[in-house]
Amino acid sequence: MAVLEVADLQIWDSGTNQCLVAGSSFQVKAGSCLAIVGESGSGKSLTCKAIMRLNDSGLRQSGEIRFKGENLLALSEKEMRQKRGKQICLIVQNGMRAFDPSCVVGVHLLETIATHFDWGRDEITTRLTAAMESVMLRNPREIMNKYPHQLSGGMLQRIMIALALVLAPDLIIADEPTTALDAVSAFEVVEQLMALRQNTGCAMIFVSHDLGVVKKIADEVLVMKEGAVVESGAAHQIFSKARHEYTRYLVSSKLALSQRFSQVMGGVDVAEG
Amino acid sequence: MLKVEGVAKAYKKAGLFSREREQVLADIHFACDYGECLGIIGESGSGKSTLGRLVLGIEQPDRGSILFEGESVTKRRGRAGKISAVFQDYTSSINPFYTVEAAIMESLRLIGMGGQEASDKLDFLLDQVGLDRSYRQKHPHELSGGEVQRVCIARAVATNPTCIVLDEAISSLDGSVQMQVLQLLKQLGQTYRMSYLFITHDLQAAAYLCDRVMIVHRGRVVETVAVEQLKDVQSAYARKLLGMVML
Repeated sequence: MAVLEVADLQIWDSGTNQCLVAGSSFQVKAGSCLAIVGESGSGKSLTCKAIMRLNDSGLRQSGEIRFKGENLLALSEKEMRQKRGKQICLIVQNGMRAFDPSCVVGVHLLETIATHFDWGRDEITTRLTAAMESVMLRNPREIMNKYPHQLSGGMLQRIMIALALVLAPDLIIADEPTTALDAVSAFEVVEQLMALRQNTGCAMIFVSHDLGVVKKIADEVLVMKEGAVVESGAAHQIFSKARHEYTRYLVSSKLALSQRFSQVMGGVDVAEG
Repeated sequence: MLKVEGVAKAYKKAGLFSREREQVLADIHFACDYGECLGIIGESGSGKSTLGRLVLGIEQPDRGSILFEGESVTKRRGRAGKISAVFQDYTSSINPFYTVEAAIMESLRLIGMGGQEASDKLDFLLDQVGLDRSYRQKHPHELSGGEVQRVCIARAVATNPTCIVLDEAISSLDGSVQMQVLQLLKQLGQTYRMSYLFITHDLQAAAYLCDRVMIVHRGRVVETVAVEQLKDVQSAYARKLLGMVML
């Protein structure tokens, strides 16, 4: 069954009437991971924000977004607020901007959880601590008492994942979660996202331009270019026998980059697929 | 050509009255030969960008010496026009009030070029980085990330430098654009016989471009190895890094 069905989604700028996303349709099956790939400006992030209904008011959207059979575009703002976080989580690229800079991260976390559950403070803290430990954050109590700027990008991203773990949503939208991170933190964040899917069984939309990460995490891939869906299909199919020229171009430039590395590494095991 | 010996650098920790100092780099030794491409690999906070700034002479080390062609990089005259840099953040690399032409012209003037000669050279440089003449009058905000980075490369190459420091020059670009810029760098390196200091966290890009890689962790050199021998690295940290590459 599909958790999310997007049909003929169009996004345009109401000021200039410029079309930004032209009629994209796709589905996310329960428990599966859909990756959206494409270059900057292809409308990947706009699509994600459209699902969350977080686009600027200057941007208009039409079409149908059905989340578990319910049309999200027909909901009132209040009803939508209850869906955000509890049922659909968004993890953004820049962890630093996702947290409130004026208070320690613990305050933010407690506030978010208290909005969606009527648990006591102790219960929230216990659950959060367990979640943070499971994403390999040592000393959760100390971290909760720090301001976002005192933590690294990789840590903030993992705190977000821990929060998602507690909220246990049905769908997680991860918009370029590893792009701002270095290779080591990116690897750890991807590992944690995969573990999160395994533990909660949630579906995921993973937006990235890095095909290496996509290959590791995705079941299905959607390729976007200049606001239109160019190709979609199972991940292995996209990587081995892409039909569209643009997809082939993306895959081949990825291969050209990793080829030398694989050649140098010869027989040694590296984290693959 | 470039010789770094016993370099150490510490910064004051944040806080107005803080006396604590944080050791960013300690006891760094390495050398880079003419025409060689040396990759400096490390995670964020490992001190690799600080090392880049020290090599450029923008900052001075607390201890040790950095010699470029036998002279200290802190002397401007010794390195003028011979070391260039391309940085990660392309949005702040070019003066927003400058056109592409003005930005490149600035470095051409540095080597005393002007008039028709400079104008021809400018066209040649743009052509070399894969942009055409129509870009001359454009401002940086009108260009895409890959295009701005190409302009930065053209500007860096304009003075015929012996060495270019590339500090995460491709990390902010999209996958396929990364590849285009890497190909451009490789080809320019061969035409101009320049050496590169390629600072990055991306081992795959380093393997593509570099002859040798130096792995830095917590301000110290962990291991330096030729790219062909990358799979025979000894240290635990280097092995861990290799295991984390997502192909």
